[in-house]
Amino acid sequence: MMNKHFPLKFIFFSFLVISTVLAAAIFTSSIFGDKEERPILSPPSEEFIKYLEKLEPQKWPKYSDDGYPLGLIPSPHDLSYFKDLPTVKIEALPASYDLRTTGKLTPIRNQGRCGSCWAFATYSSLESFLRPSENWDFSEQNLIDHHGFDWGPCEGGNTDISTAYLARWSGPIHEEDDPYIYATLNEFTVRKHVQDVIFIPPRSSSLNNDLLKQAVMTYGAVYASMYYKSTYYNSSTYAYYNWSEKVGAHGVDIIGWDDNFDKNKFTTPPPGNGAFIVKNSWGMNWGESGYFYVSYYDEFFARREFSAAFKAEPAVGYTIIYQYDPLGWVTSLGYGSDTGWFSNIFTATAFDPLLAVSFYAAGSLNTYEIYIYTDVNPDQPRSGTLANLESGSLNSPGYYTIPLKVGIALRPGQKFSVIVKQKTTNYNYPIPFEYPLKDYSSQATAHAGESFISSNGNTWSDLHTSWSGQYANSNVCLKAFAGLPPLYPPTNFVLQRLENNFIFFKEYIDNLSWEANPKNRTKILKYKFYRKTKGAADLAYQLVSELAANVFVSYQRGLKKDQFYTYRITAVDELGRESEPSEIGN
Amino acid sequence: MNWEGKVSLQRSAIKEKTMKKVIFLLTFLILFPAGQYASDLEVGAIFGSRTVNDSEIKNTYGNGTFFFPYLALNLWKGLFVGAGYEGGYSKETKIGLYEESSTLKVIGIEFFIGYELKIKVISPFIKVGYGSFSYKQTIQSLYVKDYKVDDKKTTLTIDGGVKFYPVKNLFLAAEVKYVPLKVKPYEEEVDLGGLRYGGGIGFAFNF
Repeated sequence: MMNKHFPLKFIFFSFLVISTVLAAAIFTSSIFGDKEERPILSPPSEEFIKYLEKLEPQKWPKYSDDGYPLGLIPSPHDLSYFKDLPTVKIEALPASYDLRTTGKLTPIRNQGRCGSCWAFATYSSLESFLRPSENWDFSEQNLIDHHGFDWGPCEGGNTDISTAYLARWSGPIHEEDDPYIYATLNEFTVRKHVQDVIFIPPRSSSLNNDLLKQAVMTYGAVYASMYYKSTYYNSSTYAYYNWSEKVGAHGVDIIGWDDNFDKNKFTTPPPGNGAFIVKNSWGMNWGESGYFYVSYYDEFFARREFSAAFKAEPAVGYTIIYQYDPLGWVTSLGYGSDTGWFSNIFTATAFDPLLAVSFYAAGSLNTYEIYIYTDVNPDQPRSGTLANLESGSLNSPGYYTIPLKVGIALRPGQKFSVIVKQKTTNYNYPIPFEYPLKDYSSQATAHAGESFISSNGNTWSDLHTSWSGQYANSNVCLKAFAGLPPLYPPTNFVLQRLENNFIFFKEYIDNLSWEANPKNRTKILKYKFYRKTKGAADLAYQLVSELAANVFVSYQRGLKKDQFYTYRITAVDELGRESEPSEIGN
Repeated sequence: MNWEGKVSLQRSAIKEKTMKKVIFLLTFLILFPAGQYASDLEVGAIFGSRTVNDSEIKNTYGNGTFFFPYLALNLWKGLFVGAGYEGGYSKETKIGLYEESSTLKVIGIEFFIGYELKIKVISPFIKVGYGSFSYKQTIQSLYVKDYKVDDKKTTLTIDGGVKFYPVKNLFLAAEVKYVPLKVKPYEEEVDLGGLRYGGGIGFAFNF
């Protein structure tokens, strides 16, 4: 017999069951549902916050206490995750090293009354990388005029800003095209493609210097940051040791070191000997003809931000750059782990095949996988046809271009996606992205369907439309390069002047030799050989001869004692392209 | 006065002293002849070897030979004047880093004045000359065609020797001559001078 209250109980029981199921469904959906979880923005550095809030204006003055121009603005990146970086010991490094003796440096420059130290330090590094086979003077003026961030030309900058400017192919411009301080042209020729910038982590201790030393030996001058105050500078020994004051942020270049530099040469002796040899941008009359020595024990030198070695490739090569991040790496995103996925969907503008992909790596050890999809659907980076898969590792933070093993054919109007899965060991913000920070990078813009991120590579969020528009003007830092493989000039271009003795007179002979550049991926057909009278303008270069690809020496005979030339040699490949020149002079 | 001026003055003084010595010697020999008078006219030819002072020339082209036909006129009491032609030094070799073919030729015309002291059949003599020497270097190379080593230089010479008269008027001679000849057609100074060791034959005509 049924209880007379059965219908009421049944209704109540049913309600409980349905409510429980619904609650469970809603809860489960929120945890395991299709909706992409919210990423976490990497925290900015303390110094950057203080800079933005203008809490410590004395740290960011335009001039040092003794009147010299500065100009370093702190990077937004919090690099505290490097503070426990173990000391790296590289056995083969010499006790002292000085780029001044190797022909790897360009002359001391003078930044004048302008906060452009960072631009000079950047190009000092880049020019040094190219020396001695190429002798360039790049335009700091163009860099400070066109960096794209929220302030004027002489208001400062940092290595992130110069990397962004170079990585997007706004420069480098030749100094002659846009000389310091007076710009003369509106259109500029980009002379090089900066495809890689090696970041050296901040020194975690006074003697953890080997990574910096190795970078100097490998690449040339290395951009570094410091705090400058005249109190800590001994002008008679050109020695600098700041052990206490964060004041006067400045950008310079490390060009060597001396492990035995006497500690007693500093105004206050540090705990031990040893100093970096540093190139400044305050002209030849300052320091030791523009150079000075910074103690290994300086509390701030190369210890707050990334130091950087800028590398360059020939501008003859990649012809198209696909990118949405002209302001580069402003900050990072992560999902609480050191692995993340990021992607850009581009629309091909030409038939030039896709050849390389670039992105930033923030960790001291990074691994990556690169996926290229063609004919992708809008908003779905991982759709269409998988055209390429690459993987590898990067053993230093930096901005890197990864050449694809096989070029990918594209056609105008075709949608393709570049996807990177990156693991930045011990750093939980593996997704580098451009972000409109107020008073810093507020000019950043983005559109729907451009940049996507994901925690797992399956479900993707459009940065522009997700999370109530929090990242609506953000793009991930991921570029793609199409065109032809770069064409490199011959290497090891060496000049030796010989005397041919005929007793009554001497014939002088310039003996030139070079080597094929092993980085070239297209077949070299010939070399073209030019010369001009030493000191003449570049327009005076004249073609002397064309030499077969298997000839690596040339004798310029019949010269008189006071007859000097500067020589250039270029490579011409099977596609008819002529490389940039390697140059050398007496 | 600067140092160049001083050096120039010193050189002038040395030249003046040398000239005085030569004039004194000639005067002495003319005024105090010890032997018979020399013949009126003399023809002869000297052959022999010659050295080159410049070590690079010596190493490259080597020492060489010479010949010197001459004509002399007796003036007075053994004092004579004459003229001759020096030839014979013409060398061919490879030169320079690329071992290119090269020649070097040195010839000269010389006017001289001398004194001969005849003691029976032996006559020692001494001569001072003034010569004009031509030198020419050729190099078979396209790269140095702008350079031309083909020039002349005058110089004093000094010569001494002895004549032997086995029969009347016919003589055999042996002599040593020194020719200083520093040239500088371009930036390098080269010493083409050197000693000549020669022997020869001649005939003296008495009119």
